[in-house]
Amino acid sequence: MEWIQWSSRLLFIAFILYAVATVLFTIAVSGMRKDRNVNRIAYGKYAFMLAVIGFIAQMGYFILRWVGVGYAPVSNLYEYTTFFGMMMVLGFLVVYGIYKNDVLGLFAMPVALLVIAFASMFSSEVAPLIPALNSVWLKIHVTTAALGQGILAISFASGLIFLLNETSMREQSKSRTWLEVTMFVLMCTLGFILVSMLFKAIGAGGVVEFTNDRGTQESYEYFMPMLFVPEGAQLVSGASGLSLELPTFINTLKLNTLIWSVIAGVVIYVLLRFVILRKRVAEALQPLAKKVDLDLADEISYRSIAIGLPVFILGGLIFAMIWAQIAWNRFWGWDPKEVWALITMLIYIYYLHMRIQRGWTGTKAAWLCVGGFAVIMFNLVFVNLVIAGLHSYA
Amino acid sequence: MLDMKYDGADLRSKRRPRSWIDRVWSFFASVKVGLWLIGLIIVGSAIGTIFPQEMYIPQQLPASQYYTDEYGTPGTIYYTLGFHNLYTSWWYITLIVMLTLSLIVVSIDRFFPLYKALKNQPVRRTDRFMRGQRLIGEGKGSDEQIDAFGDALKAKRYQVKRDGDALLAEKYRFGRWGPYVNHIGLVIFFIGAMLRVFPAFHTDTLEWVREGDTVPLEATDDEYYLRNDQFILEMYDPENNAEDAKFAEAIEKAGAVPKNYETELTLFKKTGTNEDGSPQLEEVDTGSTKVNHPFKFEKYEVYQEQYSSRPEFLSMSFNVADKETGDVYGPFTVDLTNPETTYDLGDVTVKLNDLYPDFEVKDGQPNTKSPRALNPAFFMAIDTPDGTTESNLIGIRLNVADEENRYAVQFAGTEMASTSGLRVKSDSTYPVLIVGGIIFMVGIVMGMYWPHRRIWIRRHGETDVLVAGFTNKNPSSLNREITPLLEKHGLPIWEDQARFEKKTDDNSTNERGES
Ligand code: HEM
Repeated sequence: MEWIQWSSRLLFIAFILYAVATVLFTIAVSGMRKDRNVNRIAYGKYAFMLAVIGFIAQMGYFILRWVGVGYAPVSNLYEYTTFFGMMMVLGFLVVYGIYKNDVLGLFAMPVALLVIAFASMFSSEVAPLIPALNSVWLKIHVTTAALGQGILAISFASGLIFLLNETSMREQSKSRTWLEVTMFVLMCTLGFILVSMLFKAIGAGGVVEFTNDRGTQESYEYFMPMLFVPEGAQLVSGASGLSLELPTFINTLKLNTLIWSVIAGVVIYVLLRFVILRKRVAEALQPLAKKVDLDLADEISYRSIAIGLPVFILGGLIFAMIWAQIAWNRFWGWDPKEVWALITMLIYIYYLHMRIQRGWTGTKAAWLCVGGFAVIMFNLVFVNLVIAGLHSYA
Repeated sequence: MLDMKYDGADLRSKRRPRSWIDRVWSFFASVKVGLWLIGLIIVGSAIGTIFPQEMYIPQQLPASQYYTDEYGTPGTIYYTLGFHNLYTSWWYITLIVMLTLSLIVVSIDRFFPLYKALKNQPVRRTDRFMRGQRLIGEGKGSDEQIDAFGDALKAKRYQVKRDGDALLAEKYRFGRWGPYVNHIGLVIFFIGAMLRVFPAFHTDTLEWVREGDTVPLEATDDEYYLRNDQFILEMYDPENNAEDAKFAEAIEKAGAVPKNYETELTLFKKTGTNEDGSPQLEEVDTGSTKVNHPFKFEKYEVYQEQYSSRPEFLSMSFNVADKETGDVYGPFTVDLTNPETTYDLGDVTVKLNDLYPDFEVKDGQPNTKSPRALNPAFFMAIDTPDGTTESNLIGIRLNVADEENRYAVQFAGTEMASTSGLRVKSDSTYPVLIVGGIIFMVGIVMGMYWPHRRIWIRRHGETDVLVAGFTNKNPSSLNREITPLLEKHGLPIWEDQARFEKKTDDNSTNERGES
């Protein structure tokens, strides 16, 4: 238990260091000269150093937790998502090492922060490993896949930089709308984290019991005030107040969380847009993105995909097949998680081949980087929580 | 700027199509078509995850009913369109086959021209060729400067060639073969996957083996036999095992959590047949199979796939008690795999009239649910010394007999055995898949981590110099490597001709043509 407490502390320290690094990157970029992508202020260097120390602290978290639980801590959603965040930071460090570009830090680090904060919303309880997960191939497959995804995710940051840079904010366009949608989705993720923490702190929520579709009793434990409950639900604890009853085939527990996240996202967005920034969020970020020229942003995307995709294919598909063969005696079974790993690969393969075509680079390619990251997150969040398959950690 | 990807070589697919073969060739060699195929496969694959595929639905209900019951109208539509078996549907397979054809055609189409172009590379290039490159610079320079620059490139592991007034430096050419290698690997992998359609290439059977039993393995045409020596099921035990103590809280919540499923087994080979028809067996190997650690012999693998959560009864022992005198006869043991019909206990004799291994009452009649001895029940008749016969129905928590009976059957003990569900498999397509997979991976790494870079310099007259650079990826990295050297040696600095144009105002959206 000692080990695990220390590992949690290290994770917290890493999180703080990443946050400070993000702030320093922001300062560095704000004072950056527009020409040549050269930064004459040392803040960027300090930011990078902090990110490195943060990464080492997070490695410490990983190792101590490994010692504490007795197996590689990548076997539930909390552990996996935290590890994915860590690999995103590693991916950033690698790409930063090549291009030394502070703007990338400004966009990549907050996304990694968001991922790690998101991870902490899942239960971090120490659970025994079931036999199916007890294999060296689990460690190899999951860690390599997450590393690949982490590097690939950097192309999301540079893709955003490209799009922010080259989309006109004065004129209505698809790019402008979708950029704002992307910002809004990020706000909702932040919203989910904030409301979860808030409601947990004040102990809102409760438990209801109801008869499900198959005629058996089931109970839902809410951690947020109940907006939706299943038809005919009996309150066991907490307050239901204004809850709306919905047919039982809808999972009201998940719907409830989703709606609260969107509400929080809307609140944050409205505050930013109309009170704090008084302009589109994308428009506010544009001057920062403009400190990188389009070619470099485009090349960083391509580079991180070129580095990350082979790693992902090896870990997420080839090692996955080897393990599936050993554990389930079939290397491929069209399980949703497997299919979405294949789709992840194919999205980036599409990206690479698109670049072979004349005139298909630039905006379209940058949007594919955003789409690729969406698929990675979809596979992490949605496939695990909603489409339950063999891989489901839940 | 020209399309210099293949040094301007002539591709069959780019010629004007003449015959229908040319047309088909051009179709499959087109990257646009390739993109469509990949895009359609992405969309198709995603659709297949909306609802579970048929193989993952519970087996109690027919698919036609399941999708409607569970998901309403969308489920009905899903089922009607055949999406419940999407990955084996004709259109999905067609897409994969077309992708394979495309990979073959595009690789042939481009490989040979590229090979020729790179093999016979002159050092001296025409102005037109050099100006067609992405990076190009013009200015002044001398032979000495070019030589010094060449030496600097050698230090950076470029292969440098001089030919009079010209220089060619090249690095990582083999990276150019990456796509071809990976495409071929993929084709081999797909061929391997398609071979699996033929039953001759693989065997796959599930064998239920009870502890102590020896069974012939159907997958080996009964050439091998397996004996289940022991089935081990271990649970996490936070109370008695210090290692597991840290999981106490989680186990409290989840209930018992299994730690290990394992079957210890002995492998026999059949060497002949005894006179009574039973096989002569020779022990070959012993070992165990557990989850994540299959047992292997020859080309076969034995997987611990399932186990019977309810152990089977091997034997049951009984006493017969005389209710009047208190005398007890027995015990006698009924071997459930090989029961006898009569058990002589001295004064009384027990006859086994009927045996139900997995007892239930169906439509008012005794019945057996399965042939496995999960819940055995017996009709026993006791021949008493008085010459009467008393009948009893005996089972687990079941004892039906006449009140008036003088003798009663009592349980004296049981012997149980677990049953393992072992999956025995062989697959001769594995080598093809493995070779394909390795070639694919090698190709991907080759292509992605080694960017091909070339630099040409040509001097015209005494001091006019043309510098050109090519890379198939990451031009700004090439720039960062070479520009300082050009500067240092006083040679003309090149410019990237294909930059995204700098915007004069915010409204313009520019895209460049990529080569
Ligand atoms: C799932 C299937 C495929 C995979 C995994 C794959 C993989 C790759 C990779 C990794 C590259 C290197 C890209 C780069 O360096 O940026 C590449 C290049 C290429 N691919 Fe594919 N590919 C696939 C399907 C196709 C198809 C269907 C076509 C054709 C129509 C195609 C045509 C090409 C061409 C023309 C190149 C460029 C070759 C060169 O640089 O000389 N690929 N492929």
